[in-house]
Amino acid sequence: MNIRCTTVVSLLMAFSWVVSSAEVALARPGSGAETESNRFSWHPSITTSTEADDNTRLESSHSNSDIGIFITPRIELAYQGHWFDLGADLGADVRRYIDKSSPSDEFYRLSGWVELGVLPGVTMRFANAWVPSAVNLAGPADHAANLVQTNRTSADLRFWSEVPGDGEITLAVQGARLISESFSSEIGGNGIDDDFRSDLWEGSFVGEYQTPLADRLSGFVRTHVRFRSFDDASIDDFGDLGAVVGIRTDWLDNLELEISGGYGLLGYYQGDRHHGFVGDLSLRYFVRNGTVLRLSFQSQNVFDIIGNAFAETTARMGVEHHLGERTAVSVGVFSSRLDNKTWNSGVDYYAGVDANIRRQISRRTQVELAYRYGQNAGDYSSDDFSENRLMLTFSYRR
Amino acid sequence: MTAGAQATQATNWTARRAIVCLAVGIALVGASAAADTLEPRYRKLGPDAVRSERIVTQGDWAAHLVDVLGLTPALTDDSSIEDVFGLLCPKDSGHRSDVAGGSTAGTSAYHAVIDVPKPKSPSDLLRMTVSLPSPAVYMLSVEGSGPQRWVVDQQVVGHLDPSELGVAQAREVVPLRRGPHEITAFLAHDSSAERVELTAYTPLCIEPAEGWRADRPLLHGDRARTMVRALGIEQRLPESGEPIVIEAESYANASAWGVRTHRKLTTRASEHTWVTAEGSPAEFTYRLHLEDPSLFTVEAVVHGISPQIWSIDGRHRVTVTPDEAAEGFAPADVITLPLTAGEHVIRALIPPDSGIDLIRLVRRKSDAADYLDLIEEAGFRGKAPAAYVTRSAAYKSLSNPTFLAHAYRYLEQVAGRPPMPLVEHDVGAVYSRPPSPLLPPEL
Repeated sequence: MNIRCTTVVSLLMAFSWVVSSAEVALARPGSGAETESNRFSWHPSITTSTEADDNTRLESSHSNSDIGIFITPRIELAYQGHWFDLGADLGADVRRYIDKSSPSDEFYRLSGWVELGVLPGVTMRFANAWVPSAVNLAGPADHAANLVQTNRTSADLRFWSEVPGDGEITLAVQGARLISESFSSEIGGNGIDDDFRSDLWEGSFVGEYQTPLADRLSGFVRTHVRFRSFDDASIDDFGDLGAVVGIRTDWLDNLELEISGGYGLLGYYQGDRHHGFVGDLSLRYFVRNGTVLRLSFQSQNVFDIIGNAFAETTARMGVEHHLGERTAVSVGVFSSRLDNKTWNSGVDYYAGVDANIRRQISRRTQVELAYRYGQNAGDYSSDDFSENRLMLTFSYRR
Repeated sequence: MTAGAQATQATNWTARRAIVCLAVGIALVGASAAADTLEPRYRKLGPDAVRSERIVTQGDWAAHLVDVLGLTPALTDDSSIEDVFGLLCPKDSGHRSDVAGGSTAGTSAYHAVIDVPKPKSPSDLLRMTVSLPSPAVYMLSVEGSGPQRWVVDQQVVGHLDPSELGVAQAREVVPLRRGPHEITAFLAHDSSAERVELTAYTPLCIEPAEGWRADRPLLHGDRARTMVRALGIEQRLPESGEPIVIEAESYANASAWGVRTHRKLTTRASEHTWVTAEGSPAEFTYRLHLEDPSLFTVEAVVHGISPQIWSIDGRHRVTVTPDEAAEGFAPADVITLPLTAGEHVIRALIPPDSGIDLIRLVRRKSDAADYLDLIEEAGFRGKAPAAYVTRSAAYKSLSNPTFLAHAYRYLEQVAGRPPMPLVEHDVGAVYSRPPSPLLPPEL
């Protein structure tokens, strides 16, 4: 409940600031330079979805076929000036299934932020986001059975500068506090904790240097350091660092390619260290008939909110094609391998296919039909699952 | 292994890694110095823009826009940035072009008129060349009669039949470079062509509020304005004030076959009166005086099934195709364009049995913030109108798949189809998550 109170109060304050600023902005008549310098905008939207799901609880027993109806109202607010950005994204995500045994739930997506350009090249950002987060990374990140409400408050300081040789350097530090509502979780093989809370501090530093190498080719070096400290499980505290060298190119017409590779080290303060290759390959190819091909491969260290750290290898491939002006279809396949390094509790896989077709009905309304098949498999078969989901969505956004 | 040996090995590893990092750093800096000479002044944004915080110039933005809109065939190696701007928004400066294979009736920087030579026999192919002084997106129009097929530089621009109006505009526009071009026509038996015009298509002018300045930083307001015009959705800007309504029967001038009529159709005419062409095409001229400059959408309530040709101030000429399904009167979008304060002339050339009931000029809000609202509605994030656009933001905008899908159809869109682009409602991918759920994607 503390989370809700804190978040709601902070958002109300942010919202009132937005509205008062908006009033000032809107009160200015005409189209003079003063009016042009600041801007208030708001975009309300609502989506309604009907879902047919053959495994609403993501269980291996596969016994929960159900029909669900989801309603997602949302409003995006922004007040923007030459040296600052102030915004709020306020929405709810209400999910109801016909069968009461399915995980009907509601989530809130309430976030606010302010970004200040304090000096040339120096930006500060403060943000608060009360949003659902995925618990199991080897599962669908948008499924009610895999989501828990969290609140993340963060502060960023970013520095950017040009450097000799046409290069650019970016340095960023971030500190954040994450708290979650209590949820049921397996704790390190010691059974189930029905009142688990993922409350933690985390910090990170990222530095990147990039420079043109040749015509249509640029190179970059990126390094990062992260740490995470849990309130109630200091045994899970860890640090993570990595460095990659890569290139970006669009040598071939309409083809974008980025390849990077390097070294990553993950170390628990009270335990093991793991190190290995980290890298990324992403390719995007545009065809003038309105087709976009995407291919990506990532090898990296990732973390879930329970405290697990994984060496993740993910590959995705997708094709999107625009049929005329109003319609687009896309098909994709994905596969993730998550090697749990925290408890050496084995390897989990999540793979599947998805497809969707979108059509613009009117200027502000759109319809989408989406299908996904996802399958989880791993060293522990008891939590394996598969899921077929078909979703019909109508959305309005102004 | 002893502790000393381990320490030595660790030191060696550390030293090797440091050397590798140093070598990579030196290679990158060295290569970047060499790359200085490779970068032309204005060009399509490259891979270095993906994460660049540098401010993008209007010159670079225009060069990239021309590329994604498919207009680069009109550019050559010696093209200047002014040529790029001219492709996006042709501004006639009164230069003249040379015409061969026909006599020049009148030409300027973005306009060439050719008196078509008489074919030696009816089955002859008509072939002529024209030298254009400026690269631009050109539209061909022809005066004559009967069905005919026109080709510019091996590219078919239209199967035209100017019989009804005496003149017809090609449905396809084509980007043409400076210099000579071959125009070919295949005329059916009994068809004729007297005059051909190649005119830069001015109705869709893509430029920032104060025009293009190559070295000026691009502002978010200008980014939005140029994207909206590239998408062809300017008529979606909010209305401002009462529209100016001109009853068609209150024309200033009408050609010989133009008459007022009270004839009743399935839908009632405004004021029970409208104008039509009896027997032959007729041209109606309307004059209006504007107190203030503004962006206007010109709409007309028209009758008929055949295309009509409308022009504003003699320069912006478009073909209006009435709704064939409507038996009475139906509204039709003519053009959206900025009009200055002062006198303006609207002309409508309509075929027999067609008509006009009224003309509406809808004033539209056109501040930078209005354009930003419009592209945000289409799923693009905006910032303050006067904020500078970084190269990464510019690159992200122009490589957005939705924008590209419509940009690639730019030349078709120019030909007059009302756009209904698919936009991003931010519904999100079916399966997606950032690299780490607790690490913002931008980090």
